Amino acid sequence: MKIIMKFVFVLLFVIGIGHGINAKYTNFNIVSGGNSFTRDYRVNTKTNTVKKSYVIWKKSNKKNHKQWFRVVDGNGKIKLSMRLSNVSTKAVSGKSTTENKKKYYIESKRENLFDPATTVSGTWQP
Amino acid sequence: MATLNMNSINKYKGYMVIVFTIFLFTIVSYILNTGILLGISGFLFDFESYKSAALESGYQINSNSLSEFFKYSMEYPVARFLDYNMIFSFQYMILIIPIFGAIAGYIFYKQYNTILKVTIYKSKQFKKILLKTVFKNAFSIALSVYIAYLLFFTLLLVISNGLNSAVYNNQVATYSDFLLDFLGSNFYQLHPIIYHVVDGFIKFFLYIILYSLFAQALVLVFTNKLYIIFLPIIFYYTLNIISFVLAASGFDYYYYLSPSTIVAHTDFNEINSVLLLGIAFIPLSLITSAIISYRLKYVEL
Repeated sequence: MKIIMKFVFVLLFVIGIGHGINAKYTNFNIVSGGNSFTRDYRVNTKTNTVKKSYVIWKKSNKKNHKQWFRVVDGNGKIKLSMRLSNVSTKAVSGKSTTENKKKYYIESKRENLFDPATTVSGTWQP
Repeated sequence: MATLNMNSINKYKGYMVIVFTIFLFTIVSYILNTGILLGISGFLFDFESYKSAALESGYQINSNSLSEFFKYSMEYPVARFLDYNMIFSFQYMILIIPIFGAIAGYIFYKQYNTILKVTIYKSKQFKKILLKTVFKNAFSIALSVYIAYLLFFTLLLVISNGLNSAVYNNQVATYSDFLLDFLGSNFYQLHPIIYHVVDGFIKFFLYIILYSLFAQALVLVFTNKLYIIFLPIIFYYTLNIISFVLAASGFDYYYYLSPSTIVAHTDFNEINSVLLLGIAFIPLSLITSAIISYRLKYVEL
């Protein structure tokens, strides 16, 4: 019974994070390739009034490449556009027009149209 | 004389079409990358959902007028970022670089199989006339593309007024490592305009000359125009595929073998410019020179 309770608790916690309920940082996992930015559809709600957004680009399945990240609203309107050169464990911030308690998404794209399916992952806050 | 002038005018018009087409494509690519058109269908056909998505991110849209749409879309200044727009507006060129070679090849194919043979036969100066024509074609096409590049770059300079994404985000302005081993690591920060002019000259002038010469050399080997049009494209795409297969099998420096890297060099970190330029230019130059010099010796008109 205890195990089931623990499992349900962890599951609810993970689902809660996944839906951005009061989450400061939300994970992203994006397969970027082709001509347009690819979105991670996990919504992230901003929890502060700072006019900055943060991205920690932790992993990529390709080596030695740059990656663009942008924060958008549900209509795809850009709130932040930032270019990162390398994977890192440190957060990189950019000036954004995001607002407290509002909902956003992260999108990503590589500069090289030819290089097929680059998978990037990390965490971010709007 | 009148016919000659008409031919010159027609040729001039042809190259102007290239300039105009490239410029137009780049403008379309620029507009698409600003994100202005994103969600326009929602704005036009499902305004309530569009309005509520904007509100969820903190933006109140008051009316469904076009001016309100542009005000909302242009709130963030990505359309003014020099680096972002130089990279993404010209991104489509990665796919079409060898097509310029194919165009040059086709032009030379038509010349070679019509008036050029007669001219050469009459003048008995095969080498001189042939080389002059080949270089003139390559130069004209490359110059057309480079002019379109410079026109768009000038437009973007005016729009950006020195703003790029790194500066806006309080980061150090970097664009690419390409050529910085010659020019100095902070060259882009000090002279971004010169950097873009030189970069464009290599990517969209010299590199196009190279592919144009290669495609024209094929005219001396093949009689079927399909080979002349498609071989430069197949060469370019095949090498790219091979390099990506090598990447998949764990070869870290695969991008030096990819002919698209010189056009997409901004994507990679710590590029060795000598190696990149050498691999991009030397083998194809040697193949082209070998074909031309061999055929100049043994060709029969």
